[in-house]
Amino acid sequence: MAAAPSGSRTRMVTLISKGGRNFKMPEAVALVSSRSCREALDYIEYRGNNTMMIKLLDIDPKPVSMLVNFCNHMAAAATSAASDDAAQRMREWEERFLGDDVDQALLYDLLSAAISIQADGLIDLVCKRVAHMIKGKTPQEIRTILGIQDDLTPDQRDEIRTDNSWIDI
Amino acid sequence: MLTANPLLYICGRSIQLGQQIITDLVVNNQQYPLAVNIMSTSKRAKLSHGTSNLATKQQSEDPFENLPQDVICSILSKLPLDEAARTSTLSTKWRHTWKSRPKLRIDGATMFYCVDIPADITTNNQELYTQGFIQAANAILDQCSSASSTTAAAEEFTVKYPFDIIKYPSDSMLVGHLDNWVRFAVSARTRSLAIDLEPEGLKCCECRYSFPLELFDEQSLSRLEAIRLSVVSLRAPPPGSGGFPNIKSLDLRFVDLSSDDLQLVLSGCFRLERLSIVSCHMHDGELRVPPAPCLRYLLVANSSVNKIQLIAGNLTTFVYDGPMVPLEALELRHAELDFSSLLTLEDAITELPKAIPHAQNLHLIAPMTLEELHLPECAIKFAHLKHLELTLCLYGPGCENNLLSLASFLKAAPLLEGLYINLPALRSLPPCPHGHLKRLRIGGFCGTLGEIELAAHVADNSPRLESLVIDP
Repeated sequence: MAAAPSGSRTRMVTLISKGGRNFKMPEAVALVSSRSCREALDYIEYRGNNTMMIKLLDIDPKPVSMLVNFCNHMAAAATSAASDDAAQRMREWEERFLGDDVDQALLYDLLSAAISIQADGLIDLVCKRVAHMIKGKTPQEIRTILGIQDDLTPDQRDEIRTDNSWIDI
Repeated sequence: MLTANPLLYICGRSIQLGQQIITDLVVNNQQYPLAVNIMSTSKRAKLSHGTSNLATKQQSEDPFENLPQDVICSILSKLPLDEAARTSTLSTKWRHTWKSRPKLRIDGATMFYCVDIPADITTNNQELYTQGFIQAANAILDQCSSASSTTAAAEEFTVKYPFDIIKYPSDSMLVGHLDNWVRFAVSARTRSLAIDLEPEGLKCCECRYSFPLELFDEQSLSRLEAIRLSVVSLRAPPPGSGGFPNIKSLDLRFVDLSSDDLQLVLSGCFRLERLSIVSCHMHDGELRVPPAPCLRYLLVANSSVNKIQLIAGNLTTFVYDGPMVPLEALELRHAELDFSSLLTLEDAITELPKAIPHAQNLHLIAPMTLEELHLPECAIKFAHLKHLELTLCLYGPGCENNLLSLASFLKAAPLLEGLYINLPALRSLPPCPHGHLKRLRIGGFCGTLGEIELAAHVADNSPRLESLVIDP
């Protein structure tokens, strides 16, 4: 990647949500948080003053703004010194970030947005939350939570039971 | 709904939103058609070099149905193995997904939720227990090997089960199965392999599982990045086989490896960053760590070495727990040396600087006697030492009186900026409250440890104490 000319303005990356709302983050943040951005910037040799824009037109503004918020926060945390305190603060922030006001639909949209730009940190966090939601639940409960249709035949069910004799299914 | 694809508009033409053109991007005289069609969910946008790995999905009522496989795998990997396996009954899509488990851990202690474990394990019951474990492990690995080879293989594979043939001869039935499980790891292209056979509270062991090096070919050996072995015996790979060229972390506990074999193993490990050798009794052995340019962390504990020689220019942390041995670690910068047998002040001041002349940060933990006020002189100093922490267990007559001798560390470390001294805590007697004592006076007080201990004990145990006078 050729060195960009040193400009006085930080280059930004813009995410565009449904309804045309724009959310920006500095390019440095996008590079750290998003694999797609890294790949793209690796590939493009010279961009001059161009802004990178990513369209997530199927996704509501709220999850996109949360995504940008997350990326900014993670990038800031990465630069500060690692310590037990810092790790604890990060855990607390993550808990507030996915707080009680984040319902399942929002969680899903947030995951979609994160997958779209391959923001591995946020994908991981949401996966942890989903795992927490289904932990200890019966299969029927899990199907209700995740909205999964049960399409197994009784024969298939029996096969699964025999294959996995070591657990109670 | 999960959107089809993100689109990277590098050329900045943004027709659908009616925004201004930013600028055209031309790379090698070519404008890149990165955007295809944003509104349609039926096309796939690609970077011509990297691709977003989402396939287009049908819109459906069930959003979580549409998640990519690798995201579902990520969710399942955060559940314990048995819960993840239970998701195989959710639907046809979920039937096989749990099997692509990047971190696969077969742990005897956590695998028996549905088996009644007898309260007292007699030899017979232990045999049943082990048989049950073997059956369960084989069932799991059968399932996981049948997973498609394109999905995430068991990159990290751990087997943990206590192996004690002396106490439970039936444990010998594990050996053949362990070989099979290692075979599974090889075919699953495992990068991080752990075989932990340590029973709880093990002090020394006679019988170990022999690591089946012959199951590995050159390719699978070079795939290994981390190995952790406990109660396993390891031979050096045959010369010319390439050893473990890509290994970054090697953790050995109760492994019987002669010092020659260890040196042979290490000489092939050019990428080694972390080495831990605990309770591997290399009797009369020298530990020679060959030049290891990437080695950053070394732990040697309880391993009866009689000499340690390190050539590791980038080693930053060396933790050593054992008797004071001739040590040579010329490049070491951070060390925590925990000597289990007596370290004299003389040795600490005269021998240690020769052993670790470039140390910048040293934490010295050792028992020490200070029988007289003695300031050893040393020709070679800790020329670079900036931070020194001393956790000394002082004993013997007069050691409190001779604490002043510790000042010789200042002379030995002319550039020292921080000195932390941790003295042993006050000793105490069991509580014996005295209901009447009202006045205590100690004359001729010099502030020795013994005097403070006595005063503290009396004060703690005298609820009626009204006056405590300390008179130097």
